[in-house]
Amino acid sequence: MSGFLYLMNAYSLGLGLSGVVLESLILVRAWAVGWFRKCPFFFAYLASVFVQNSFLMAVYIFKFKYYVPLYWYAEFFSLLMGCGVTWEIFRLILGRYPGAGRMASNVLAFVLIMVLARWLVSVWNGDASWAATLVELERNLRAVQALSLIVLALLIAYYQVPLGRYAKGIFAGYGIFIATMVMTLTLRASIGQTFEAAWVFVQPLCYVAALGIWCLSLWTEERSPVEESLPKIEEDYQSLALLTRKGLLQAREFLGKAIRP
Amino acid sequence: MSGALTLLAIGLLLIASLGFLLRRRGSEEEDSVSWFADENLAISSARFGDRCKEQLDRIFGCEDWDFIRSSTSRRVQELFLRERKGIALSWLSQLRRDARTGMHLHVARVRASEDLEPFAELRLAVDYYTFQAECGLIAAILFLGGPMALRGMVGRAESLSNSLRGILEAALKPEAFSQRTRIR
Repeated sequence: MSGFLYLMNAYSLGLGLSGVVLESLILVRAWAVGWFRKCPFFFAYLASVFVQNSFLMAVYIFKFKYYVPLYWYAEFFSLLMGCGVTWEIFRLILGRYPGAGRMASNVLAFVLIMVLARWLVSVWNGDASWAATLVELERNLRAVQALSLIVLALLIAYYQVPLGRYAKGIFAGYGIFIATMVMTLTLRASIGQTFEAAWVFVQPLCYVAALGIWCLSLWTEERSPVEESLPKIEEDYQSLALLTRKGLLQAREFLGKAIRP
Repeated sequence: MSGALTLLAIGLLLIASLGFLLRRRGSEEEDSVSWFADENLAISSARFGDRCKEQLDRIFGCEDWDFIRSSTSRRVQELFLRERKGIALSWLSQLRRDARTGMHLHVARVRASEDLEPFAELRLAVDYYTFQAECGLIAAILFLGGPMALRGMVGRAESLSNSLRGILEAALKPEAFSQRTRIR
């Protein structure tokens, strides 16, 4: 048993160290390329996680009894920063498409307010303890972020929005991190303490995987984006939509004629 | 438990959508290509109007089939049915392609628009995917039975629905209802 604990400690420390190394690599690279200006939220998030991880690792080694409460405070802070990262991914990808971007950000803001309000009400009523609600809040906020990212993926696919290398990398890394977090947090809340061992194993691994994706995609320089030559929209949106609808109705009419003499 | 399953499904769905996006062919170059195609798209969408009734009756009608059935051998009949099925499927795929092109043109033009209306877009998307589903269903019927079977099937379905409607109307008449509910 002690051998297993020793292995787990070594594993946690190893992953923690890899995380800190990868974070510092990305931050140095972003500093050199000047990506801080383009994605301030993402790099602020990464910088804050880097500081937290370095600090938490020191606590883990020297003052372990403070590690768990400090971990949850740090996690809550990262969670809030993560909401900013989601917003930034939207801005980065849909920035040139204001209509679709506005649609998506309205939905995101509405869902965020709903989840926060629900959490505040449950804390106010004393329905659950602070730690339990914190886990639930994290799970719910991560789920909201996951839903927002699914909506974004749908919009990208539907409107054939082009993705640059950096945007694709940030989106993929953060998306995988969020998806795995939602699943592990759900299992942790449903199964309880028995999932704790798996949680300790899986959660840092997912984060390091996301860091690996970011590192790979941000390392190679993105070729300078070709300015999109947007066509002049001579017709207004209404008439374009009407024209497309008319075309679809006509096609449906032909389909009807094919099956009915 | 259902809440946990929903959350797990959300996580899996996100991973699947990321996988789909990452596998998307040439997403970085796709954009510039789509604008070049616009001129062709406009021409192509105008082709919707060329699918005249005569052409449809030729492909899906029974006149040619009646003639072949009455005056040729079984082998010729089989050949005719096979070719007619191929023509019908190709006509259907052309119609689907035209619709896809029309939607592509719409999406390419409105995606940068500030006046984009969510409900109008949603309605268009629903219309488009319904149309594609209908085409898929008809293609399946065509593949299994051929164009003659398609019209025959629709005819049978219509007569069945008419007779069902007749039965229902008769059943819902007040006098019929009172007769059937009479206490003996």
